[in-house]
Amino acid sequence: MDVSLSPQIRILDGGQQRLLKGIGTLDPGSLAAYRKAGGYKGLTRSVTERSPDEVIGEIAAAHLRGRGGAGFPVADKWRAARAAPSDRKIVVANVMGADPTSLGDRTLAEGNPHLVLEGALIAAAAVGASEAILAVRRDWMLAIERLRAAVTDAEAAHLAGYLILGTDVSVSVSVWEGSGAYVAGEETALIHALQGDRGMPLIRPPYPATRGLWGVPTIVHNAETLAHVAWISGRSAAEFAKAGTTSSPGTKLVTVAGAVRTPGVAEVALGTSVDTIIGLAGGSTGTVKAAFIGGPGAGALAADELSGGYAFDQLAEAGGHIGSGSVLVTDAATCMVATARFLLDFSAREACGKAVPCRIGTRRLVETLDRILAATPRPNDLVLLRELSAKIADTALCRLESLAPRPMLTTLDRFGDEYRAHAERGVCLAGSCSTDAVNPLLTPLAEAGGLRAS
Amino acid sequence: MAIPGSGLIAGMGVTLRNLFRPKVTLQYPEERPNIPDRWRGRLDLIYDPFGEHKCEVCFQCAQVCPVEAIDMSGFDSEGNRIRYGLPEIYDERKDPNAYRRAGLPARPERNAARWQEEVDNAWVDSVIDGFGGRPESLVAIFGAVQTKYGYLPEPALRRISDRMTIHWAQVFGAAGLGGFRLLPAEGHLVTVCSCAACRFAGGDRILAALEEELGIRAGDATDDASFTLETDANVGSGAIAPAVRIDTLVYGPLTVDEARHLIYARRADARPGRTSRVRA
Amino acid sequence: MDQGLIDLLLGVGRFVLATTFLLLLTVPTAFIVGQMELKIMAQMQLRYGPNRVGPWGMFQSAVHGFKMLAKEDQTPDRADVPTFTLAPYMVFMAAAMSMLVIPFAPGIVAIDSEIGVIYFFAVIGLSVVGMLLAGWASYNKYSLLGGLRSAAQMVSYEIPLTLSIVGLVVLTGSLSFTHIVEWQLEHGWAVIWQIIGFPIFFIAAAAEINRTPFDMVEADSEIVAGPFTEYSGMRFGFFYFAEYVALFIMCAIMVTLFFGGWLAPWPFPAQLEGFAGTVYGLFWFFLKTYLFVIVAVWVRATLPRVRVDQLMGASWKVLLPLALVNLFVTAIVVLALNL
Repeated sequence: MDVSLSPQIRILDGGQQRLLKGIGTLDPGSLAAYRKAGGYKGLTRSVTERSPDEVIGEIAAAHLRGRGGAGFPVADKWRAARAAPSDRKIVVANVMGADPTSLGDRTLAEGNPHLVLEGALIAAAAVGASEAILAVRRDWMLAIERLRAAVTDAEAAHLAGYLILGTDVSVSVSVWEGSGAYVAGEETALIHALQGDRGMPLIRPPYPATRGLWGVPTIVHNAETLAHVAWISGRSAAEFAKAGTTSSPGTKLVTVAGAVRTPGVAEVALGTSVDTIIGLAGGSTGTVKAAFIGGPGAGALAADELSGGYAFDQLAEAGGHIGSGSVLVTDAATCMVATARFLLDFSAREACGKAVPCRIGTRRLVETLDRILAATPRPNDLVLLRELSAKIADTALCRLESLAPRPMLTTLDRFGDEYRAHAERGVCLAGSCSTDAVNPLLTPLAEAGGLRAS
Repeated sequence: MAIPGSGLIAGMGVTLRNLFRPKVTLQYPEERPNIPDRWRGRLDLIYDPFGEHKCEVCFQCAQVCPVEAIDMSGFDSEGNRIRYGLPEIYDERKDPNAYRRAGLPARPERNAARWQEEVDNAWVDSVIDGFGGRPESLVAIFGAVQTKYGYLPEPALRRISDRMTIHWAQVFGAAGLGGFRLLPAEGHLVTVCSCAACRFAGGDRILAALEEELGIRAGDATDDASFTLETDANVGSGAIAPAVRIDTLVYGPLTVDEARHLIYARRADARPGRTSRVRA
Repeated sequence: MDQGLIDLLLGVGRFVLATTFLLLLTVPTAFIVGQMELKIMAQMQLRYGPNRVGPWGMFQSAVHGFKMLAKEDQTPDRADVPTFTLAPYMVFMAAAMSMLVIPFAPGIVAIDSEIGVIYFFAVIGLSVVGMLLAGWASYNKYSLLGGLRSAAQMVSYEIPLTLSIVGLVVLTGSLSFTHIVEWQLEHGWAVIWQIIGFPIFFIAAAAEINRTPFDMVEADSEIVAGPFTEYSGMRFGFFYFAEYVALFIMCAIMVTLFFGGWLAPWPFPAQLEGFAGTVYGLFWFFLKTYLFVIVAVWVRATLPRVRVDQLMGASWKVLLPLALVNLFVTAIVVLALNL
C-alpha cells in the first residue's frame, strides 16, 4: 500500500476536509478501500436509480460552480450538452495543472483517483456521453499511473466501460497525457491539444458543450469539479450546501504558497476568510502585505482586505478571483511592481500566439513595467498601462488573456505609490529591488534582443 | 559637346510621346486582371527598422494553409531560445540585405549544426505504431522521443509528420507549446523553477546565485559545455519550493548555499552532499 | 451735375463691374487649369487621370474645390490670427488684381492704363508678401523658413522677369499692354524681336509663380508645404486657387507681350472689326493662353525639381546677365533700325 504523494504536495490540516478526507491514509490503488469509504455510491445511484435529469437536478440544487476558475454553473453546462443533438458526446477531465502553483487537481489525481474517475463517469452518464477522457499533464507520472490503475480496476468491476453495473450506460474511459502549458488549462485550447493540434483557444460561441472535441458536444471540467460531483451524488445537495455561502456553496481546494511557514494544499469552505486560509498554512513568515489570489492572472488583495471571504462573488467584488485556487502570500519586503511584472511576464511567455492583443500587448506591458522599474518611464506610462490593459481585456480571445493584466491593475490600485516611487524616483518602497537586478528571475524581454525598446 | 538644353528637350519629347501612347491603367471594378488560377503571389516577410522579422512565428498561417505551403521556425522573443520553430530553416530564408540595410551583422546561425542529428527512424516508427498512430497521442510520442534523445530532434518530428500524415505545421505547433526541448542541452541541464511559489520562496536568489556560479545567464550553456542553465515554471512547487532540477532529479526546498553545492558536486562529478534528494 | 463727378461715378462703376467680372472669371479659370493639370499630366504618365466624376472626369477639379470648402479650417493656437487669416487672400488678390490690365480682346480690358506693365509687375509681386505673412503668422519655424525661402526665390526672379521686359518696352516705346499688342500688329509678334528675352521671361515667370521645376516653396515631397504647412480647409485651397490663377495670368501676359495678344496667327486675318472682332480676339487670346498652360503642365510632367542653389545661381548668374545683354542688344537694334 503506497499512500505517498509527490513531494510537492503537502496536505494542510484544518479547514473543512471533504475531498481531501482520506488522502494520505486511504490506499489510492485500492478500489475496495474507496468503496468501503462510500465510493461509487453516487455512480451506482446515478445509473441505476436516477434519470439523467434527476442527476443534473441534484447538481443544480447544489449550485455547484466550476472550480476551474470561471465559476460557471456545472448544471447549465450539462443541460446544454445534454440538449445538443449528437450521437457522440465526450466528457473531459482537465488534470492539466495549467497554473504551476496550483496543486489541488494533482493532489486529487494522486491521492484519490477513483473520486475523479467517479465524477467523470457520473457526468458522462448525466449528459449521455459515451467517452470520458482524463487529460493529465505528462510530467505528473504518479497521477497518470494511479489514474490508469483506477480506470483498469473500475472497468474490471464493471464500474466503467461497457454496460456499467449491468445498465445500458456505457462510458469508455481513457487517460491522455498532455503537454503542460498554461494555455492548456483553457477548455478550447485543451480540446485543440487533445486533437493533436497546437493548444490554442478558439473563439466562442459555439461553446464546447455544443461543439467541442472532434466537433461533438464536449464538457470539460477540472478534476476538482468532478470530485465535487461525485461527492454530491454520493450524498445530497443539502449536505453539500452545509459548507460555504448561499451563492457559493461547498468547499474549495486552495494552494497556499509564498511567504507562509508551511505552504501546501488546504480544503476550506467557500466564504472562509483569506486570513484563515493563510493561517492554515502556518501563517506568514513576515508581515503580510498582499495576497495574489487566482494564479498568474491573480488579483491582489491588500492586507486589510484579507478578512474578506474566499468565495466567487466576494472575491470578484474585491478584485480577485478564485482562478486556479492558488493564494500567493507576499510579505512586506516584496516589491509589488516587480511581482506584477513577474506574473505578467509569465502570461506573456505562455501566450500561445493566437490573439494579437495577448501576444504583443502583454509584452508591451512587461516592457512598460521594465521602464518603470528602471526609473526611465515615458511621461504617461502609468496611463498607458491602464489603457493597454483595458484593450487586452476587451479584445481577449480566452479568459486567461483577459485576466493577464489583472495582477498589475490590482496592485496599481492598491500600491500606486510603489509604482510612482519606482517611476519618478527610482526608489523601491519595499526595498527589495536593486537597480542592477531589475528582474531577478527572468531576463527582461527588451534586453535580450528579441524585442527592442526604441 | 552636348548642346545646353538638349537633355531638357529630349525629356520633353519623352513626355510628349507618352501623351499619345496607350495607357496602362486598369479600370479595376470593370476590368479585371487576368490572373492564373494557381497564382499565389510571392510571400515576403516584413522587417522592422532593426532588420528583424516582424513575423512572430505564431504558426497561425501555417496551420490554416490547406496545402502546407507555409513553413516556418524561428527564435522566440528572447532571441536565443527556440519556442515555435527551428532557426536554420527560417534564417536561411532571411534576406541578408535586410541586415545590411539596417547596418547590423546578419545573425550568426547558432545551433544550426546541432539540428543535423541522425535519428533512428525505425525506432520512431515503432513508437508511433505503439500508440496506434492516432493524432491525439502526439504528445505521448513526443514524450517518448524526448526521453530517448533528451530533446525533440527535427528529423524525428519530420518523421512523425510523414508517418502519421499530420501537417508539419501542426506537429511543430504542438511540439512548441508543451514544454518540450527543441534543442539538446549541453552537459548537465540545470533548471531553476520559475513558478510563482518558488519565486516567492527565494527562487530569484537561487537563480542569481547559479548564474553567478556558472558565469552564464539563464538560457545559455557554459563555454566548456558542462552545464546548461534554464528556467521553467513547472519544476517544483508547493512544499518543495524553491526547487531546482538537475537533469532528471528535482531538489527542494533549497537554500542558496545548497543550490551552489549541487553545482560543486556536479563539477567534481561526485555524489550530491547533504542536500535533500527527491525524485520527481 | 458737373462732368467731373459723372466721370468719377462712371469710373467707379466701371471698376466695380470689371473687378466683379474678373473675380468671377478666376473661378472657372482655376478649375479649368487644375483639370488640365490633372488630366494632361496623367496622360503623359501613361494613366487615364480622373475619369469618374462627370463625362471624362471633367468635374474632378471642381470636386476638389468643393472638398476644400468642406474641410475643417484650423488655426494654430499661437498663430497671429488676423495675419494668418488674411495671407491666403492676399496671395489670391495679388493674382486676381493683376488681371485688371490684361487686354483680352480689342477694347476688352478693365483699365487700359498707360503704365499697365509697371502696374502688373508691381501687383503680381505682392504675392510674395502674402507668402511671407503666411509663413510668419503660422507660428511654426518650418512655415517661417518656407516663407523666407519663397521670398528669396520670388524676389530673385522678379529682377530677370522685369528686366526681360525692359527690352520689349524699349522696342515698342510703350508701357501699355494695348499699345504693345497694337505694335505687334505692325511689326509682327514680339517673340521674333526678343529671341533672348522670351526664354528669360518664360523661365523667370515659372519661378515667380512657383511652378515646377521651381516649386521649392511647397516641395510637398520634401518640406511638407513650406509656408502653407499649417493651413487647412479653404484657406489652404486659396493658395492653390491663387497658383492656378497666377499660372493663367502669366500665360496670358506671355501671350500679350510676345505672341500678339488677341491677334490671330499668320494665315488668318489678324483681327476683325466690331463685335465679331471682339469674339475673334477672345478666341485667339484664350487659345494661345491655354496652349501655354499646356506647355507649363508639360514641363511639370517632365522636369524634376531643381535645388535651391541651382535656382538662385540660375537667377543671378545666368538670367540676370542675359537679360542685361538682351536689353543692350535691343537698344542697339532700336538705334540702328531707328524704330
